[in-house]
Amino acid sequence: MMNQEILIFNYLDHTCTEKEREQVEQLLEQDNQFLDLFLELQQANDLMLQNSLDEVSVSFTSNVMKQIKASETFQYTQQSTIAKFLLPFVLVLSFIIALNKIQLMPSQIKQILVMLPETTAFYLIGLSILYISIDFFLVRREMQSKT
Amino acid sequence: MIQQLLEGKTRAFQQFVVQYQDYVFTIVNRIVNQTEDAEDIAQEVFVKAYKYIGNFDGKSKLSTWLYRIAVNTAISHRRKKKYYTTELSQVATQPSVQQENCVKTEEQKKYIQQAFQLLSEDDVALLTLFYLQELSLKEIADVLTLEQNNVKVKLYRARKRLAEKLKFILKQEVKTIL
Repeated sequence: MMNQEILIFNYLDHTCTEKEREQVEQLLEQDNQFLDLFLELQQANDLMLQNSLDEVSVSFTSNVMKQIKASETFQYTQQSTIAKFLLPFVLVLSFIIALNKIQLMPSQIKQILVMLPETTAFYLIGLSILYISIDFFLVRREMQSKT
Repeated sequence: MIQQLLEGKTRAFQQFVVQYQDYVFTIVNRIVNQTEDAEDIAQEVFVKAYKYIGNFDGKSKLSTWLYRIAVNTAISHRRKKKYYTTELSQVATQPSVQQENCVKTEEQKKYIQQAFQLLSEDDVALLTLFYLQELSLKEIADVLTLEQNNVKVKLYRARKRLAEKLKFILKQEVKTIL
């Protein structure tokens, strides 16, 4: 039985040989059971073939692009947030390490300690400005290249 | 176009969406069998494709890769939501619309939807890909991660099952009309 079905499917798909085609046509004329099976399979095949592609709504593409943009913005924000916390941490750490490495006289340490808040503030402000500028430049360049 | 997609150019991706949206939607819609959800899931497929385009190795066609995402996403949604719950008796009692010699497109879609509800998601995925008439058997095998010979056999069986379900549905339809 399965062989007959394969024969019919190949006939319907036009993938059978000339000999198989003749065999199917002969069976259709002579064998009623085969004819019934053929009609059943042909009906399903025709229904599927006639059933065209389903169409999406007009706003489909724009909705996809909006979702992509939203997910990208989220990604950038996440990256920036990590960098915002990580970079100051590294800067402060490097500042402390640098202070420890320098051999200073007690009087010099006292002088530095007096100036410490001011020096640290300038140091961090300067580097933060530098960081923000680089971050802004990189994000902007990335967005431009994507569009 | 592939190069531009790999570089993450959004304009190229937009063209890509336009080119394949109906195919992806058809695959998803047939598998989940819920038009309201199908569009959201199809959108999810494209967002995933954009996100993971870097993983595309170029060994297969881009469309094959996209359809694989579509099939997997749709099957996972169908399993999650248990769309495949309709019994044969439920389909049989659904009311008929009208009697006509020529079956209209909308009605054809309805019959196919009913039949698809009675088939497994694997059968539906296989039949949908085959009747898209876009992919060769080898490509279908790639999408479904099956052997080509296995696809052939599974396809024969799925087509046979589809024919049986449709025969049953149409018989019930005629009975209701009469």
